[in-house]
This record gives sequence, C-alpha cells and structure tokens, in this order.
Amino acid sequence: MSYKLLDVLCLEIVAPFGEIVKTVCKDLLVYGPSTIQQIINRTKLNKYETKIAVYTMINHQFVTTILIFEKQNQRSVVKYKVFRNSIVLRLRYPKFIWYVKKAFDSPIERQIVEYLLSVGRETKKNIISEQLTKLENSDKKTKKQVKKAFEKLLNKGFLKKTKMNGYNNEIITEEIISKKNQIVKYIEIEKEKERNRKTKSKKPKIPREISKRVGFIEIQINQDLRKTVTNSKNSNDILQLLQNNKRKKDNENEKDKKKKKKKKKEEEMQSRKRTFQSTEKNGQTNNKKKIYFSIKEIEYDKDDIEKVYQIDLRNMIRFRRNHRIVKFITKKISLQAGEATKIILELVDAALTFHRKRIKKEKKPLNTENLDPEDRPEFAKRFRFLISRTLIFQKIKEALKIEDNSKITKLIDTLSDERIKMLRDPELETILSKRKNSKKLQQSQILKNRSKTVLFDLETIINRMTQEIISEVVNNKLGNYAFRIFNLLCESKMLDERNIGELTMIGEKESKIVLYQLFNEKFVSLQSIPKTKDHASTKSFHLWKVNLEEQKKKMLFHSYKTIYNLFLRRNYELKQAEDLKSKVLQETLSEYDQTRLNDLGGKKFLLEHFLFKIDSDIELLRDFSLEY
Amino acid sequence: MDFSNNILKAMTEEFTTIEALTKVMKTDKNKLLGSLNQLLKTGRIRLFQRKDGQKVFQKVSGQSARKMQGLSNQEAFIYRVIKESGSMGILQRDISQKTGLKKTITRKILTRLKKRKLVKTEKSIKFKNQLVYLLFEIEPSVEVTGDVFYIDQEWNTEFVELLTDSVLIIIKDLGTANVAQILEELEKRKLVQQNLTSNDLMRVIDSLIYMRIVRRVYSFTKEDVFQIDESPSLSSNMLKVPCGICPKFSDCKIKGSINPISCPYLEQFLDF
Repeated sequence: MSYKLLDVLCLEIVAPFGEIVKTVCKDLLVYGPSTIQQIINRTKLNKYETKIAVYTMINHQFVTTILIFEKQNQRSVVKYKVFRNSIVLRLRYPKFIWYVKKAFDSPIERQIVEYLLSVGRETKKNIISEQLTKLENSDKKTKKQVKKAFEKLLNKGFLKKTKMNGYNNEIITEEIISKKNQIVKYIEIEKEKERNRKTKSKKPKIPREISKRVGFIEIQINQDLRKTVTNSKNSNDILQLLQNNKRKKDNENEKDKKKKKKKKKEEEMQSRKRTFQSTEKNGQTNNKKKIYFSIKEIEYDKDDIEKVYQIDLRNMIRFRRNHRIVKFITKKISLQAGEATKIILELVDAALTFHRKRIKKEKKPLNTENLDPEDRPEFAKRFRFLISRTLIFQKIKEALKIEDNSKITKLIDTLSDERIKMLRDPELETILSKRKNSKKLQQSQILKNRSKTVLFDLETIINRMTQEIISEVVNNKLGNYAFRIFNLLCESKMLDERNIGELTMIGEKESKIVLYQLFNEKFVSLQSIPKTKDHASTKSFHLWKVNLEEQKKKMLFHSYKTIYNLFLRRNYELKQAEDLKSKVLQETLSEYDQTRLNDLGGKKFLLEHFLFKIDSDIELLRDFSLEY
Repeated sequence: MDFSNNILKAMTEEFTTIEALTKVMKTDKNKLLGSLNQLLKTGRIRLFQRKDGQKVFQKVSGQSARKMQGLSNQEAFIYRVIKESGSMGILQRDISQKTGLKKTITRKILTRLKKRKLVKTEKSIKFKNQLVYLLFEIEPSVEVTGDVFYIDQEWNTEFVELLTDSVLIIIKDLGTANVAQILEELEKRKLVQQNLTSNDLMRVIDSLIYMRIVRRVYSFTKEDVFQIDESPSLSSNMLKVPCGICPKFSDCKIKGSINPISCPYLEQFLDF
C-alpha cells in the first residue's frame, strides 16, 4: 500500500483534459509543490502551455497556490500544489448533481451545477447566457427564473465567489506584463485574423473585451494607420512611434496647423469613446495622412473582474454526508428520528461556519501550515460540539409539530442509544459507570443528573457505518462465525480466545480457527503477553483486537485499486471498439466481430456504473470535509 | 485427656497464644507445653509463626484430624496447598513449584492421597490434556467444568444451536420480549431441559445481536427489550465487483500474469 497507486489513479482521471495537463500533473505528483519554472525545466514544455495547464487545474480545484519565504534568497515564492483527494472527488460529481436535482424542483439549478462542474469557474453573465441558449428562450421571464435559481444556489451554499487567475479563454495574458509586450501581442493577433479572413471588405475590429480585462490602456488608432500597421513587417518602428507619441506633420502652413490642433483637442475632450478619424482636407488628398496616437488610462470596475463563481465542494460533501447519515438513521430507527437528525445537523453546520469565520478573523501569519488543509489533523479531531438541549427541543417541536413533550424526549433519547451514540450526555455516563449494580435509574434521578448541554459526536456514527460495510465484506469472505467475531471485537477492546468463543457461542476450538483466518486476511491484530521469561507461546496470553482506522485505510486502498483496474479494462474495451469501427469502414466485419461491437457498449456502461458506485464506499471511509 | 479437652475448649479464637492460654487455664507454662505437644502429634491443633516471631496455635476439628492421621509432613503440606486452591483446583506442576518438591515425589504423594480419597482429579476447560487436583469434598467451580453449554468439558454445539433457534422463534412470536418473558416461554414449551439463568440467556441474545438478527431497544428506567432487526444493513459496493472478493487481488498487476485485462472473473462479470 503506497501513494503510487493514488498517483496513477489521479492521472487516469485527469487524462481527458489532455496530454499537457497530464504531464504537468504527473510532475507535481512526483516532485511535490514547485514553481512554474521548475516545471518547465523538468517537462521541457512551453511557458504558456504550462500556465494554461496549471490554470485549468486551478479552475477545477485540483491545485492551489502556496506562498513560501526562502531564507537563502530572502524573497517569497509562489508554488503550486496538487490535492489528490480533490482529483478523486471527480468521481462523485454525478452524485452532487443528483442531490441538487432532489433538493430543487426546477431543472435549471441542476443545469447550472452541471455546467460549472464541467467548466470549473465562470462569470455570472456567461452562466446565465449558456442556460438561456440551452432553454432556447431569451425572454425576460426565463432570465428572471435563471437569476433566481442562481441566487438560490448562492444563498444555500452550493456556489461561492472566487478570483480570476489572469487566464482568459480567448487570449493569453500574464500577471506582470509590460505595455510594450501587450501592444505587440495585440498587433500579432490581428495579423493572424486578417490572414484568415477571406473578404477584405470586413473591417478589423478591436475587441472591446481586451480593454476591460487589461484595464489600464486604451488605444485610439486612425483607420488608415491600421493598414500601414498591418502591412508593415517590423513592429519596432511602430513601437518607437508609440513611445515617443510622434505625429507625422503635413505640408500645410503652421498657422492653419495650430487652429486645427485646437479643434482636435476639443473634439477629443468631448468624445472619450474610441473614434477612427481620417483627416482630409476639403478637396485635397495627401498621400501622407495624419496619424493620431494617444494613450489614456481608463477606469476599470474591479467587480467585473472578480465576479467569478465556483462550486463549493466542501459544502457539497457535507450535504451529501448528512444525507447519508439521515438515510442510515431512518432505516435503523424511524422516519421521525431521521428528521430530527436533519435538524441537529443543520445546527452543527451553523456552528461549523461560525468556527471557521472566527479562524479567519484571527489573521494568522502566512505559513504553509495554515494554507495547507491536508496537514491540519487537529481540526478533524475537534469535530465535537456542545448543543443545548432546549434548543434541540424547540426546533424539533417547530419542525415536526409534535405537541407531546414526552415523545420529543423519547426521540432525543433514541439518538443517544448505545448503538448509535450520536448525542452523548457525559455526566449521566459517569454516574452510570460508577454504579456497581446494573439496576436502572428512576426517572427523577435522571432528570436531576441530566445536563443542559448535549455532546454531538459525529465520528461514532461514521465509524458505525464503516463497521457495517467492512463486516459485510468479512461475512462474504469468511462466513458467519467471522462476522460475529468481528462485530464483537469492534465493540469490545481486547479479548482472549476462550472469551471470544463463549461470548459468540461458537466454542474455543472453532473460534481459534476463525481467528487465525482473520489474522491471515489482516482483519484482526494480535498481542501476546508472556507469562515467563522465555516468551513461550504456550505459556502466554493471546489477546485479539480490531483497529478500525487501519481497516479503513486497507479498504480505501482496496477500493482505489479496483477503480484503477476498472479504468484499465475500460480503456482496453474502448480500443477494441475503435479497431472494430475501423473494420466497419473497411467493410471487413464478421458476424463474431459484429456481436462483439454490440456488446462493447454495454460493457462500457457497466464499468463506468460501478466506478461511480465504489466511490460511495470512499465517501465514508475518507470524509473529505474534515480535511478541507 | 480432660486437660487437653479443656485446652481445646479454651481456644475460642481462631489463633491463640501460649500466654493467653495460661491466663485462661491458670496453670504453668510447662504443663501446657506438654499437652500442646500431644495435641500436635494427634493433629488436633496446628502451629504457626507470625512475622513478629510470635507463635500461635490453631484448632482443628476431629474429622479433619482423623483424615490427616497417618500423613507425613510432605503429604500434609501438599494437602494444605490443594485445600488453599479451593474449588478452582491446582495443577501438578504448580504444586511442585509451591512446595519445592520434585515432580516424582509429588506424583507419588498425590497417588497416595487419591487412594485415601482425600483428593480427586477433574478435567478443566482452561488446561487441555492436563488434570486438576481438588479436595474430595469440594465441587469444582464453573470455570473448571464449564457452563450449561459444556458437556464433559467440551462445547455442546447441538445444544447451543437448539437454544438459539428456540429463542428466535419465541421473539418472533411475541414481537418484543424481556429476558424474563423469554425464560417463561422456554419453560412452558419445554424446549430446554437444563436450568438456565438470565445471564446464560443474555449471552445467547448477544450472539444474535452480533449476527444482526435481533435488535435491542434501550431504556434508562425499564428493562431492555428485544426485537427482530428487519432494517437492512449497509452493503459495500465492493462486493458487487469481482475485485472485491478476489483471492488473488494482491498479486494483480498491470504487467503481471494476473492482470485486469486478461482476468477471467472480469470477463465473466461483463458477459451479461
């Protein structure tokens, strides 16, 4: 078991993005966080290609930036780091879409989420325009509906705002770029456009979006000059002109020139829009025409640049996890208990958001530890909150509309069973543990000793659900006796062979055989305590136990490997399909090949179906929300 | 004899000293010592020494004195060691370890004690292929012989299976039931001949809970109640794929002889 398997799986998932993205991702997985130049040196790719690859991965939340301060050079450096868990999360996207479909009545929300999951991040305008094209209606009503759906998703936490990377789908731009280079690129792009154009009547147009994205510069160029600019070969001459802001003079007198200068200045002050003027005399035409340059600073809206939206994966994982817990409790206990758990989980989520906002307000200094969520195990362990009993009581009463207070107390007590232990009363537990006799308490004693707050423990439920999954695997592999022993050892700590045989009603002889079978399969661990100095096996105690966390890791890697095997098989089947399709074109198909072609579609569907299903086990075995 | 009987009557406490006896009997020490020696020979009293160095006498009953009559010091010592173990019993190797005697000597002594019916042997659950020594009068404890579920110190699987099936049937018929209710039904239907306690029955029910067939309904005030668990358990999707159950999963590699492309289990799985 190693992380190499995970890396190989991540590359398979990232393959549809292209080979460049795959090479960059492989480099980051192997060598860890690194700068762009380091990636270029290793992969020997073009600078812009690497940036495109990195920005696409950032858009899809596979990669984040890290600020590191190098003491040797005494400067801060930006590095990029890959999250393996977020790449594997891609298998869960259809379940997120299914959850959104059930949460909302209209299909517009589902379509928005689908679009954003495929693209990564996008502005509000583009999202709305895409939905209108899909619906084939651009009426005001449909626009309102789409906007309402968008706001619903924002308010409930499915979407979140982020910043732009400096990456545009149309044109490449760098974060720190000089004015010269900017203009040169603009010119080069327009050259290519004119070469591709067939008709000369079409006039070249300056795309307005560039000015907005750039924000600082606006160029006003004469229409006639554009021809000279496009026809010229050397761009350095143009740069010299732009730097110096020179103007070509006419052969007219100086007096007339001054008058015309004033007029032009007045016209410029009045119209701040881009104009394409051609200076012509009345009835006279000159070969040398005027060229007018000006460089201005234009105000750009910060909001237009930063209004980009993205799916909040942390919240989606949390919604999905709560859904599964509620489903588990409804099956085990009742519908009302499931609805009560919903209410409690909402309270817990509110407490979580408050806790995270408080961490942000503290404004800790920039360190890799604070920015790297995978290396923060302390937050995961602190997933226990105290909730007031009266608050739960009131909320359940309002939601479920129960008048009898005794029923509500029963509901809350069912959730604090020994089997589930979602809600715990530590004061009562201490009293019960101290009591030697196993007699039951009177109700008056319970009311006295019951505390006002209740401790919410989510790890126990998740451990209970994982225990059921793993015990089913044990039952299928090794039988009913192993199933009993595994369940016993999960609930109790360390036991002897004889005790195990008596408690499971199997007998000592058969329990030994089953225990050693479990030991071979690594479901169970052994600890021997010697009685004598010789450490003889016959004269020592053999104690057996189950470590749930190790079993989780084992199941996780088992599931990762099965997914990888299914990926390989799917790629093999796709290759066979391509070969058969080439035969169809060549008209050399046989009946056997035709049957194979018909079956390959079903095989591909089966493999992809189970790829997404196995992810439901990974959902419980590794709760990603605790690591974000 | 009368004087010695008077001494025995005066020894009211468990352990008495010479000084206390002289006070009670109001005689000389030398007279007492002589009679005490006779009583020691007959075995009516025993002599101990405390940590202080003070010597103390213990009274012994007439029956036990008659038993111990004719025994040597080693035999008496071993008898006492077996008596201290009580109903749990003690192994031969432990006897030789405690007494410091050799194994051959202990073996001979134990055979002699067996013949005189002072000591008996029993099989134990803990120590396989070894016998445990007990006093003849004492009955062995449950830890030696086993519970109701053992016959001849071996697990009675047939009885256990019968019991579990009968408990299941009772819970199905009643719907929800206590431990006491289940016991009553077992007696009524005469399904079991042995006398079961509530602890024995709880062990059977716990085994059914571990099998996820029966469910426990908890309560702080009343007794716990048991039902049949009809709720479905979470199943892992790994079992639906052949890789989840494959015995050669650890040997499966891309460039190996066992690989997912040429796997027969996957081919069978995909041929639907």
